Amino acid sequence: MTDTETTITPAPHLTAAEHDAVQLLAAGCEMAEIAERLGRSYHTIKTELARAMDRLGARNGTQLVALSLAHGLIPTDAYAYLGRDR
Amino acid sequence: MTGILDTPTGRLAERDRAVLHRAAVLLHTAGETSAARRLHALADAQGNDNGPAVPTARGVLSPAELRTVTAMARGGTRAQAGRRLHITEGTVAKQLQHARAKTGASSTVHLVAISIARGWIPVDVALLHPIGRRP
Repeated sequence: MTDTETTITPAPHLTAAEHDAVQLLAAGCEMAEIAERLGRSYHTIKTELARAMDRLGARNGTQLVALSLAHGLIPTDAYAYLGRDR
Repeated sequence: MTGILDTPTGRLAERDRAVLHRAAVLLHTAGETSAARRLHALADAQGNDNGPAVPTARGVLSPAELRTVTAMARGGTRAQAGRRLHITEGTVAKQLQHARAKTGASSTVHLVAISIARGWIPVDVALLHPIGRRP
């Protein structure tokens, strides 16, 4: 029954380095600022974000952040734009 | 000197709260999780006396702005979002600019993060119906 088969896709994940970069991206930082804050080069940050986009199937940084939040890969409560405990 | 914590009503403007939350996220990323939590709580507490700490989408964004932010969360360009919503790319840019100003977001990415974290955009929209997803 090929047409009812579901594809098993591995749970999406971010490496620790990618996680930090995505979280800062979600917080509104620009690439140069992310690089500076994490003490890595602009090029490294660019590569890490590109790799994360590839893995999550995101087309750009905005969708990368949307998918990361949706998958719970970056904490939504860390932004606290949601009310706590309710 | 009057700071953002000394507003007469005891309630922070939406924009100021967003700034505090953003600062808290940076603390969190720097490993200062406890300080980050306290700052988040401080920003949230300001909303408790006079209203809900988390504003609703309707209270902040216009329906058109929310539609546009949602379209951007799905990963398209501004032009693609415009085509999908039957508005021009210029209108998309204008709506995003207004929405950023209202939320205190510093970029479209930040705007989308705020909107998802507040529950203004159902996450399954971003997950199930991406625009321009790669094959």
